[in-house]
Amino acid sequence: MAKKEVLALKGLSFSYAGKAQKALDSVTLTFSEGEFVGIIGPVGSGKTTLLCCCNGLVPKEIRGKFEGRVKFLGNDLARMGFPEISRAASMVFQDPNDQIFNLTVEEEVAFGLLNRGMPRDEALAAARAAVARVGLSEKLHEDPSELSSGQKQMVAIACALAADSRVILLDEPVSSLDWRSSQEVYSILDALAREGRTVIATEQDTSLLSRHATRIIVIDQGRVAADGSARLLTASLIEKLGLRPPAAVARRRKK
Amino acid sequence: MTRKQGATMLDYVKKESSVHSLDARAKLALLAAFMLAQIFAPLPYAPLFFAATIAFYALARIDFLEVVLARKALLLLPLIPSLLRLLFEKGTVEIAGMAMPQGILNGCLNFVFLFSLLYTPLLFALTTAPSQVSLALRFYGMPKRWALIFSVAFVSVSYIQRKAERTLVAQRARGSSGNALALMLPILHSCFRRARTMACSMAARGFDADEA
Repeated sequence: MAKKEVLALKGLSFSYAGKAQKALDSVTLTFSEGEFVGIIGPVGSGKTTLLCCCNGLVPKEIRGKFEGRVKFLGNDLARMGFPEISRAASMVFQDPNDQIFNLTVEEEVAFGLLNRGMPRDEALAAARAAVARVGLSEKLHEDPSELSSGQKQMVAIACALAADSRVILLDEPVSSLDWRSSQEVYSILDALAREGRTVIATEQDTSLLSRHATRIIVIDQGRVAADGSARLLTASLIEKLGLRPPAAVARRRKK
Repeated sequence: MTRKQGATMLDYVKKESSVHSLDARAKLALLAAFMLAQIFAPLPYAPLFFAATIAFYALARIDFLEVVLARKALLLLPLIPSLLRLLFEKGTVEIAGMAMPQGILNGCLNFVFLFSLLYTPLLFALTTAPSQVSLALRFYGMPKRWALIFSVAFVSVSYIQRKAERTLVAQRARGSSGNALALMLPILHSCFRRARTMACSMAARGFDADEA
């Protein structure tokens, strides 16, 4: 049975204000429920811009020349406000330091829920549950800015979990994590996809994505260079993009 | 809460005290009343308010001397106008039968007045969590957007101070002896970048500045 289409990007092109070069060029993609999509590509290829289009940050907050349409469950994102979009899609930014500003982990995670008008008690309870899911319950009342990089990233992921949205966007979520924490994050993402949520993560390291993502999209110079299963990550493509190959590809190359 | 006391300019210092446990709205009202009383009271009453300020710090179980020493730069604010008064005010006053230059007396009183005027609101910042500050400001009718700006500003002071320390260490490691421009530019760049990304992150979490 075909899975329900959740997010549709049609003919997206974007260039940042004051720059002639296109960060995205005629990108058309659809994402279905329960899909775990990995977006890979070299630095500056447009991965983060693509994620920011998925939750309306481009062009609502990040200005530039934008063309195309983004639809969430058939509704045009351009006509939705951020409180409404945040119910549809939540995002984990690459550097958690850029998003943390509350004084306790609990309040940081509850921030998005309070913006939706959720009663404070309920928001804090949901925040506690999300924090427990990323294994930081003992840090609930601590200052998030005092946590380690990995723990801060877990707080950012807890913010996305608490949002309980249909689509979860992650911009290089494990770039500041050690191997064990990276595995934990990907286990959580696997579980979210199994629950029927659409998980879209960008990474430069293809190893984890190739093992967990059900679909890989390769972005190069703002265009979709390839879209398919992890098997499309061939040695020649990875070499062309200048990425680190997943272990399986590296082994095949050695043979 | 694990922030170190006196680590940065406006850090919230969590302690078990009657001042900490006081409702932020009540604390803000008391602070406003105390400051207004300070401003409108005649200058000779300044030492009384100063003594009260020290008593509030003791009540909050925060070491006043440590707070002052950790923020030495703040002392310039009351010091400069008081020095001007001390040096340039003419005339004499008689205290207990002794003639005394008016400039010295008023300069000292002025310092005490400005000192306590500065350190009383600082006590509010040190004993109230930013989220509570934001809630209290909103209770008194401040729009959500402005209340949040205050709250973020409180936290950002600490961020900027830490960033400055890290940048200074990095500059020194590369042989710089403390060029102000070399210090300011990366801090400014970092602050603007952080502000931009934080705005995006807040929007992505449903914060609508136009609605707030």
